[in-house]
Amino acid sequence: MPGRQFSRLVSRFPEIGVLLVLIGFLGLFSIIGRGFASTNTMITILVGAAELGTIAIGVSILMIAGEFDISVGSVYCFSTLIFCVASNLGIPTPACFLITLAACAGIGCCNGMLTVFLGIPSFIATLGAMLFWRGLHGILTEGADVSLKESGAFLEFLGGNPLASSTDSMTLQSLKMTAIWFPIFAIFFHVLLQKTRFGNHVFATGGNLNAARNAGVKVTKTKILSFTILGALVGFTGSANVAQYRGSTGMLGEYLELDAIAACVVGGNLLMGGRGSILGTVLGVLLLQVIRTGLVTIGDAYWYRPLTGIIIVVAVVLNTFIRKHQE
Amino acid sequence: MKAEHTSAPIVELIDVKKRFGRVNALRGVNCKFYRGQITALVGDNGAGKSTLTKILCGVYPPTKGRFVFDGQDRHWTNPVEAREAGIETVYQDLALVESMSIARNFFLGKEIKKGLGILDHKKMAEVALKGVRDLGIELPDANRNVQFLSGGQRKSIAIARSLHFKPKLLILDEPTAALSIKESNIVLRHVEEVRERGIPVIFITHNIHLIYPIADRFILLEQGQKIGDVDKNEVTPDQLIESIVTGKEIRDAN
Repeated sequence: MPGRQFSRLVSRFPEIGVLLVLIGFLGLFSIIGRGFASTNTMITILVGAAELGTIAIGVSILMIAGEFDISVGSVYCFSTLIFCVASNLGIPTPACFLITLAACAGIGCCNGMLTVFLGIPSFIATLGAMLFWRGLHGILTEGADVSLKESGAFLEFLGGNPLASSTDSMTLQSLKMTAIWFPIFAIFFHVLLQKTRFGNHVFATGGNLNAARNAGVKVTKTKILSFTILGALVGFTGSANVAQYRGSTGMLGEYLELDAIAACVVGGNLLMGGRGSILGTVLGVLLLQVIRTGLVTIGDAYWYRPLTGIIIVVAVVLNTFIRKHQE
Repeated sequence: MKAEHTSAPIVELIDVKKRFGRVNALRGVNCKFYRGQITALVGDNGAGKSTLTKILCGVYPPTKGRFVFDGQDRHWTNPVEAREAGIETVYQDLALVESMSIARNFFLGKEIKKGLGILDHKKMAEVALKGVRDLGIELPDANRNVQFLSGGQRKSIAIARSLHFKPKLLILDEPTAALSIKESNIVLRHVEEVRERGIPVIFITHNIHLIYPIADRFILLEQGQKIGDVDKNEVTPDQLIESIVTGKEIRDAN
């Protein structure tokens, strides 16, 4: 029975839905988009997806653990300021990178502690953080952009084009290191979630908090650690952004939290926690970016948000349907 | 009427009190649970069964009084400490994570690792299947999610999991609530099997007819106090039920 085979496939590989939709859109834009079906466009998509994707990996882990962080866009923005200010004070760039990473991990950790110890919903705790950090960026810069004076090999390593000096090909001109970091993080965190004790505890904490606690899982620690990992990924992405654009601007990362949550949900992560995968999130991010880029190639970029909105709702309906008919 | 025992008890509670704000959930309970026995902890809703259970399995300590387990005074503040000391608990409906596989649930909190922090999924699946099979339940695949299993199968897995970690005491909190009659009987057989393995059982329930055939002893609670502590041969199911309903101590059968 094909129906039964399909449901078996779906229970073993629940990301099949978003993968099929992704392939569908790739096919569609290849036919109707001008210059879409090219290596150059594919690289542009990967580079474009990399920053959102790296952050979405962390959002996905946290969502599986049963919590949200809607401050990622603001913290991402603030992290670029930390990097730039530190560097402009004369601190060497590798140290600036570590400071940014640590500061953002710390901010994530604080979000986690606020949520867990004060018992307030993470949506509210991080709504506060979202307003606070973007607001603080405005206060400290008085709304002006800050530019990075420093340049150097470390910045190239973080966010430059790894093939810049070795290739003349136009195709690879748009490649960025972020497009290499993103899959590395994806694989690392996929293994962490699926194959380690911590990952097991993340799924358990989000799946059934009391059962996990009763079984001896340190649910508080698991949640705070998930917030912290997300913070560190945001800090990394902010540093990579500075490495590319050599500055900090107050508008950076607006709507990023929503795009990240959208990518996770489209990729089959359950909003209530307990279910999801990095693979699904990566496919979700790629799908959003394919649509964004594809719409540009057909000259209709304004359709990006409405279309994303439709896809989110359709994806959730489909995922719910698939889950009910598993087995 | 008072049950007499010669061996040292596995658990002894001495004047245990528990307050939640103004509410006196336990008002000075003294009781002993003996090795090799199935002790039924019975009482109506609000009698204090669940508070007593939570003290036993380490969710919180008593406000006052002593809690002696396996010959030592204990002051646990979380279930992990109780689990490490050898108390396994099957919680009413908070035992398993539905969205996770049987194997992952079986070893939740006590995962088997291969080194480098990587989980040994193959071994966990094998051991989980064997543990469940030892209780007489056949499951095809330990990588199946718990959500697709029946209530009875879930209880079996939770009990098998508890036994796997070689407990000194097994606590079952309303293990047959929401189960069919057939499934309840299977669970009761598991509980007898546990006793045969020499592991003492505390079975919390308010279904006297269900537990009576397999229990060795009954402890009755009412409004935070103990109103009965009897061996099975000293009491009939009807006397137990009457005592629970009226809230008065068990009347002599004669």
